[in-house]
Amino acid sequence: MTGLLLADDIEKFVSTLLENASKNPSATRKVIHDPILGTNVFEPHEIALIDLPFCQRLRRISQTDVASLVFPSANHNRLEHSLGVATITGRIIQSIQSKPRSPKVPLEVEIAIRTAAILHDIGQGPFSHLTDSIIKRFPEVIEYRKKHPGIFSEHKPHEMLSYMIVKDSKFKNHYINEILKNNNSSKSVAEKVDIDAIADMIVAANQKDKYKAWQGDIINGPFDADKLDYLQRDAYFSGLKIGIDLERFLHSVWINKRDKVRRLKVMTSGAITLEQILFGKVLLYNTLYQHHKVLAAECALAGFFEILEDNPEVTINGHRMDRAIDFLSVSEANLLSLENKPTKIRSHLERFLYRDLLKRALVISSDTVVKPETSTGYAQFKELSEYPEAIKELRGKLVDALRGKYPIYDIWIVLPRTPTFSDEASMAKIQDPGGPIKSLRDPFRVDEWLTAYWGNKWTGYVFCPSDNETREEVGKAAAGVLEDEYHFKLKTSAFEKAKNR
Amino acid sequence: MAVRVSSKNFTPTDVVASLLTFMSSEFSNDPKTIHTTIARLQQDSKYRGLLEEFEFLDYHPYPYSPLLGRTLNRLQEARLLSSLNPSYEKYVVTEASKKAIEKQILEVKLADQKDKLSEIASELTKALAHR
Repeated sequence: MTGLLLADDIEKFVSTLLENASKNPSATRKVIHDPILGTNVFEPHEIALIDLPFCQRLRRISQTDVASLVFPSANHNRLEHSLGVATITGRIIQSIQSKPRSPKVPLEVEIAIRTAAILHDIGQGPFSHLTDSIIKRFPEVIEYRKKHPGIFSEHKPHEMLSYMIVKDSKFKNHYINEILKNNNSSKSVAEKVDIDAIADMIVAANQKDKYKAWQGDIINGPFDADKLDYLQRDAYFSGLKIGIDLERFLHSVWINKRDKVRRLKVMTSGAITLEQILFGKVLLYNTLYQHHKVLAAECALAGFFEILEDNPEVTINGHRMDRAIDFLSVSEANLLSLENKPTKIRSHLERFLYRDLLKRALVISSDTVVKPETSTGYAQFKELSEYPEAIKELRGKLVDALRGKYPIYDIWIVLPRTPTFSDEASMAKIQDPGGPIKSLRDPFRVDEWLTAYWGNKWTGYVFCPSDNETREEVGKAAAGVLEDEYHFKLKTSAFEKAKNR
Repeated sequence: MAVRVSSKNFTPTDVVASLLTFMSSEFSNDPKTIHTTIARLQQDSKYRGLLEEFEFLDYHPYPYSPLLGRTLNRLQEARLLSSLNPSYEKYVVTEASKKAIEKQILEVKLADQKDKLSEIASELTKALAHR
């Protein structure tokens, strides 16, 4: 398996989708209304781009994977989010343009950045980040990532796939010759749009470029348009309240044209908005993304993908679901459809569809571990969050301890990944015109405060089928396996918090 | 026995936790110096085997390893390390935690690497003192 194969897959994917794209698409400027960002104008070339199948498939990708099973109104999708990112991107550019010490942004650069915003998620698979965690384990993805360490070392697979789609020669050709040239009043401007720079912005590959680093900051930076949109949007649609003062942020955002490397920054008066972004992120992790019921629903769906993996004869719309390209080629509806699926898969899916979710058998946190400060095994256990295959092996040991009474697809050990804040807090720059450049963490170590906060909130779980007897049985067995394997003991609160006693 | 996560006998958490046993009970929580020092020592073939898992991003304001960042955070979550409120400028590792790490990790998994770990900790201590 080589990286070339992933590129070949992407080429085929682009060709297939372009077969369904209209030739000489001629669009008009349109107004799109949004519950968060209000009334927004999209230019003809943007409308033609949004009309492409690459963007339209985002309508059928849930922004917050299966969170709607817990937060019923969280049914928003990736297209809504992408349009939101483009809108915020446009406002950031307008705001920069209004600052006398910021450089002027040529129209072709503005077009490129807004285009990157529209396209930044076109590599997303069904259920967004849930399938990202599957795609990242495929050999062709690992291989491609290894061959491009400078660009993709820490990027999520969908970012890499979005980058690859935009870099594909057929996609570039279609964008330049069909979309831009047919839909831009100034042909000379259209010819200047740098599509490679668009791809670079998606993965922030232009960080060292004196003139372009700020462009990547808007799309994939410490306080990018992506975060500014998804934090507000995910909170709004899930019914949670977080506060991000977008207007104040826009008032203070700028670029210093005298900088050695031009980066997006805010003035001191806007620093509070950067803190709001970090606080918003940690609150949403705690209350939405890592809510125990959302994690349980994700496990049910992940179990479905494991069944598929163990039964390679089963396909989804002809796809074996063992390559990244398969995940770009099927929809959430295809995956959840009960038609043409064998009984064992149907029964698993039915439980998911009718919300017969797994429940907690054990709650693992620094509060439920006996003397964590001297139990190094607890830290080693938590480290498994870096190694999904090792967690699966541990689940296998738990299934063995239960003498195979329950299928591994129904037994889960979940160790939510710890978000880091120091990276963002170091990268986020604050400067007033004529003043020194500071990072967000210089006046107060907000990242360390958040790390301490998170340390108290972090919770791991063992999930199992929902009846009380099973939960008690699995909880006891899991505590035994953890003690045997990692030599730490759990308090009775580990069971009580799981409400299985 | 814990599930094996890599071809090596030890993990990044084992290495960073073991380093703590050679540090003083309070040391500066300065990510820039910590990441920069580990990135520099990683280039030395003598320490490469211990530190190679940490991949450093070159586009960050300083060489920054997300894995090293997450490992330090996890050690705090696990209560083996703490950062002192309200300024968060110092890390604290208790004698009880040091003894536990020494007995449960260092002696079990990294006994043959003690000298190198001690040298890395010494370099870190020096760098943090001169920051």
